[in-house]
Amino acid sequence: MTRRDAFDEIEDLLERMGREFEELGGTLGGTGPEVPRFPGARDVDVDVIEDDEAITVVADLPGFDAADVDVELRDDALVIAGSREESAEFDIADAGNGGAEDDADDAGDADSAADAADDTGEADEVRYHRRERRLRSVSRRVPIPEPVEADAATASFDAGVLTVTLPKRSPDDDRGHTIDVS
Amino acid sequence: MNATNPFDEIEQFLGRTPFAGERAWGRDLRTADIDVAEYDDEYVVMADLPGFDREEIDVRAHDGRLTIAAERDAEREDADRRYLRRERRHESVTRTVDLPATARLEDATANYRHGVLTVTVPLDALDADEGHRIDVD
Repeated sequence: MTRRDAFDEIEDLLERMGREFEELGGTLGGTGPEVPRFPGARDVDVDVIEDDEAITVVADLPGFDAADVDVELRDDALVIAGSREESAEFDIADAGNGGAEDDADDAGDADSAADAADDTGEADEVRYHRRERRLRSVSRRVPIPEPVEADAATASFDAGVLTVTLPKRSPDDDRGHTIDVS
Repeated sequence: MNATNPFDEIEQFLGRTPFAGERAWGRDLRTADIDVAEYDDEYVVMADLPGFDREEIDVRAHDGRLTIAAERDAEREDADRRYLRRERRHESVTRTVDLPATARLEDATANYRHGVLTVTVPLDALDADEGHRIDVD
């Protein structure tokens, strides 16, 4: 029976911590000129699922349109970003006076419009009882623990959920490119 | 004199039941994040519910409270399918919001788009805040 080495465990721990820091760095790097966020606060909740063929990353991005979502495989990490346009002034009128359907259809816009209204001090007609939803642009860096085929990656976006499938690189590829001998 | 329990206030502020079970970093995984905005003539509740179908979302108004519930099939996990990270909210999510007395629940509308549920409840134009006016003869 092999007894687990204490140093192995420490190494494991350090590796895990390193990953977390790496992630944190990724998040902070992506914040841009916006209001600084609480460090470590997660912008985007993700599930990472591994099976024999692929690594699947599932990310919650409620309120975003497919066109607003950007996915990139950079080094050994998947970088997910959702950007929201700053609202135009006239949206405020929509949000306040528009009918129910207008509000519902332009759910996202109404949000950011309200934000803008707050900033410009024109919020006299709206009162927020709760504000928990994240309304700014968001990003997240997810380390991918195994080599994957970047070219074969696929992504879909439905009901505010992004699903990225990254097929694992087959063991053959690890040995390098095979050259036929004639 | 009655001393207020600070936890009650925090709880009130958060609008959530304390010790409600599973939380990750102070976040209850069984509730949805919401915005509640009151306009002159309507009350708008927006809830983040990513990854549901319309049929899986249930919105009810009862006794001046709005209850939003959503449930989807659980993701399977077995030997061939392993979670390396699992942060997303649960398959079953509920949230309750108090509505003002002037809310016209029968005229409420709900819309689900891009994983966000928006419930709009028209408000009666009653000057509820100013009280009922009594004419003087």
